Amino acid sequence: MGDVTELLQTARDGEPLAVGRIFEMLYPDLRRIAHGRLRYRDDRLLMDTGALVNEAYLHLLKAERLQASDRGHFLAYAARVMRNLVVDMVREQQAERRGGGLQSFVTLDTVALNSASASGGEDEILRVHEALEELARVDERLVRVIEMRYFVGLTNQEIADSLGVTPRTVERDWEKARTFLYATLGRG
Amino acid sequence: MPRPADAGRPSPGTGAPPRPAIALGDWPRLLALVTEAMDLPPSERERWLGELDLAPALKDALRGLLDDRRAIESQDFLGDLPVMSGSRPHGETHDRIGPGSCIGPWRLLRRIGEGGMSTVWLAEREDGQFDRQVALKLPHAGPGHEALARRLLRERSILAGLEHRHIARLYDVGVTPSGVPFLVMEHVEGDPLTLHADRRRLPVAQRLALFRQVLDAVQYAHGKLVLHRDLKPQNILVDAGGDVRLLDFGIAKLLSAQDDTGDATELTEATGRRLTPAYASPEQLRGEPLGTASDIYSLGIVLYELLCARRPFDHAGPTPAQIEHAVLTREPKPLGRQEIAPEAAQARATSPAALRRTIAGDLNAVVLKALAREPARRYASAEALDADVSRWLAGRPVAAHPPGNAYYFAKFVTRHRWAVGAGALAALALATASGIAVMQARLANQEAARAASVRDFLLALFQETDPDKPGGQDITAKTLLEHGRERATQGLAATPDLMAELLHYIGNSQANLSDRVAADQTLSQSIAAYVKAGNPRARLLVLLDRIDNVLALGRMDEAEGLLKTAAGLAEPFEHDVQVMGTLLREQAYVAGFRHDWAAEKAYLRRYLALAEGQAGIAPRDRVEALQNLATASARSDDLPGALGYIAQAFEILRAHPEIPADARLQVINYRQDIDFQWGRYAAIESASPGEIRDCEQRLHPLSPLCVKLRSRLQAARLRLGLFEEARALNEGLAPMLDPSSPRDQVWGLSGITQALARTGQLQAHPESFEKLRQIVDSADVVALDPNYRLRALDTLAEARVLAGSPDQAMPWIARAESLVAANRGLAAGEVKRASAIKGAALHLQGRHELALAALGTLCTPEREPAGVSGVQDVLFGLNCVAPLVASRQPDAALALLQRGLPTLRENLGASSPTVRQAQQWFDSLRATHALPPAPESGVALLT
Repeated sequence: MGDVTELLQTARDGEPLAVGRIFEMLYPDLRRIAHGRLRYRDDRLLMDTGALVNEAYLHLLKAERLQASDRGHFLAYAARVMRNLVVDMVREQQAERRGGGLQSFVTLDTVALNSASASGGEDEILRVHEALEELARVDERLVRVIEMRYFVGLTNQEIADSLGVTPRTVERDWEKARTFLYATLGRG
Repeated sequence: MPRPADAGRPSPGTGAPPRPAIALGDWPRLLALVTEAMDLPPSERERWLGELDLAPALKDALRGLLDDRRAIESQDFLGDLPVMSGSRPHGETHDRIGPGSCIGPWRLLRRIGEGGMSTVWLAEREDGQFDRQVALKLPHAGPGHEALARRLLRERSILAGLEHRHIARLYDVGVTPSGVPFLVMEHVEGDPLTLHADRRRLPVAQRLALFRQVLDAVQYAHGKLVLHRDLKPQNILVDAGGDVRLLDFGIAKLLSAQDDTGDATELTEATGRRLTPAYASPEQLRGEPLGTASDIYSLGIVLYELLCARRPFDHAGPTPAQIEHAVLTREPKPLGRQEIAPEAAQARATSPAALRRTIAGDLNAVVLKALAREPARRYASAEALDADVSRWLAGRPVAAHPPGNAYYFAKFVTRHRWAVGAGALAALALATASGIAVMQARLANQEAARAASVRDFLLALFQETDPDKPGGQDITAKTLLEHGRERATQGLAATPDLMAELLHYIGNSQANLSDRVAADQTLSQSIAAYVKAGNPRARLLVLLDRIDNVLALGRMDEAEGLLKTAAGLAEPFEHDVQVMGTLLREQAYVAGFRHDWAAEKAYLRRYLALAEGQAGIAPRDRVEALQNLATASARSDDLPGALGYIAQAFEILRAHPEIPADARLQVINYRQDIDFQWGRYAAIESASPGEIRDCEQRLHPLSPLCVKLRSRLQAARLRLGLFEEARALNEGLAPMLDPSSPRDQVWGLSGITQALARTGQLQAHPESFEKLRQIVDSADVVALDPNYRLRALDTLAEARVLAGSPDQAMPWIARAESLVAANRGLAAGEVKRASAIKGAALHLQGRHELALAALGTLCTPEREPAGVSGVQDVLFGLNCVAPLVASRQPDAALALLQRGLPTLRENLGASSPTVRQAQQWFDSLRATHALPPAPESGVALLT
């Protein structure tokens, strides 16, 4: 029995999530996905994140012989990791630009933009991230839904399978979460 | 609360007046209401709102939220991740990289791995310049490419210089035009170590064999000052040929996101904390500078996992933080207490219970030592760890010391299947500080071959010192035995029987370690205690052992006196097989020392007859009797008889596989002794090196038996003319130089001195010569067996002759002559040697006629060389050649050589330098009636 399956089983039995171990194993895949997930102005190609996550899952499947029911848990964890990865990457890039680190990576086009003001896309991500901390105190499951849908891009059905609820519930949760976040982001 | 964005996306709420914040506690209710409202058709909502039982402030808030819904839906708020305002950072094109992409001169074929910091691709050279496929490691995107490239280029030569069978090569470091560094490495296909072992269901011993390959590689790299820093099974592959290949040596550090001075762990967890790489050492976790000990720690974890399929801190908790805390503060779970899953045991081709037995104990000690939290307490090097693994595989105790002593006993018993008297052991428990498990033990007769195991037993028994204190590990067996004796005499005075048994034990051990003076004292104490306890039988047995020791001390008369006493005491036991057998054995020994071969054989035959079919005498004892019979026969010219006894001894060994392997080595020792007596030096030269290695492995390089084998090999090489090779054995003879055994000392010193003299090194290393001189000049030299005295004198004289100073040799030659005259029955070989040396000395002084007179019958053999002294006589006779020629008798010299050469060729081999020299003389004499010009030393002396 693969390590991940074991860890996931432990999680299912109510014990604290064996998050660390899974991270070790999945980290490379998730990192790659997170990279691909971020979209840039001059991108011409958009990647299909759902496909990427599936790829990571399949990779695991081959290595660890995960059961179908574990996929759900895996996705939930992956989403949580993804959120943090994306946030990390965004922060890194922001810091770089501010600190003038690797100038060679900034093209002439963006210089103007940078000098103007903060970058909208990055800000939204960071602020959503912070707001989720608040939302977690209201309802954890709403946070999961945001992670899986906003950060990873999974479908309602996939989210429903992962959380063990109906797609209708996921839909409702999604709306609730959006309501909260919109209000939170919009307020002073 | 986060502020709204100023630019980019239209932000919510910019047009409306700011609304009051909603309290956290209110949200759940409000969100539920929003959901409810959204289920209603819009026309219904206002009415529903009106009917709602809600505080006015909350109602306002709810209205606000419902208003937001429009904007949320029209904007598709959070429908997707927003577009970043900048360009995609350069490095991140890696994720767009795929098969066919080119990195520098390499074309990527397919992805073969993902690490925390990089991706690995299978690649080939685009221009076909390098026909092998390589592994190309591409670091992940992130800041710091320039610094990374700098570091990689700097370390390139060191890392590429690692050339070892078990290390995957780093071929090159490259940087793409866009500044992205990459590594070109040997592509190794194989399974990670743990997977490989599980797949093949390798048992523990084979896993350890693989692990030793890893240690070999690590030791090599450490020698070149390269640390690995990321040792784990995924970096230790086993290829199709079954060879271990280590990946990423020294590379982990370079790829880490820290700057040059830090040693960072690699991964970032989702919550932003550092992950616990499962194989990191405590100092790695603390971010401290690393040394070789850190790699040793990681190796310890790998070994742990290899043995029991778990890691030592898995039990600490599921989160990395808990594991990290455990690594830094707690002890690893001992292997013996680890849960063994059935699959884990299956993967090691054994049962869970058997596996636990195997890995608990010594292997546990080894692993725990590698996992010590303090780097200084771990193995100092991969080599040291390998030495202990090797010891474990050989079934010998390891150097790693566990906290408790009890396991030593279990180990000892398993290994030697001895039974210790319950009473004695209970007493021992009282006598020593730590609690000790009680075992069964039986005193066996002493044999040199058991020395190491007895020492180990007593080491365990009296291990009181703290292994961590300086010098704590250097306690010698001798000190411990002394200590043991003190404790026994003090602590057990009230129970003389037990005390005597223990002292007998200790005394034999001391004798086996050549600490014979102490042994004598101990055995005497044992005898006294048995007298007090009123146990005449045991007393007699100890007395017989004491006689054996006294003989070895060279006190012949005393031994004979004691033997008479023993014979008297043995009368009531004439039907007691063990007693009578031991008595006969000692009587045979004494007869042998007196060179009364006939008596010796008679006693031995009686002993054997007693042994036939008698349960009281162990097969091992019969083997020993046969050994002695063989030697006695050989000495009395009965070579076929001797070889016959040896063959019988091997038969018994074959029929009794439970007899420890060192018994076989002992028989080999005797056979070699016979070979030497009969001059079959070539046979010794060919078989002995292998047998010595075997001895060193099964016993211990310092055990008396191995030393004896070396001594004999050296003597054979000196005869063969292989002087440099003889000298090479000098170091190995060091244990013989123990002053408590004068005979061994003289023998050892003689051999060493001869080898040095023959290779012209005596002036540079005069210590052994001086020591010999001291011995013969000392007042109590007369207590030393005259055979040994003669040997010492001969060696001193010979050294001077070889140095070209015959005048200085004369005093010793004179003393040797008087010794021979005063003692009958001295060993013929040594006497003839004295003659040869005298002859050579006289010849050098130009007194050729006197030389020939001194050599006497060696120059005029009456019959063909035959019998036990045949070869030796021919050799010594070669010293006649030069004086014969010098006194104008070349024909006589020629005849001598003609007669002797066939024997020499047969027993020394035509290629031996001695034979070639004799052949040279022969050819020269036949052609020119003169000898060829002498070599630099000017002396042709064969002794």
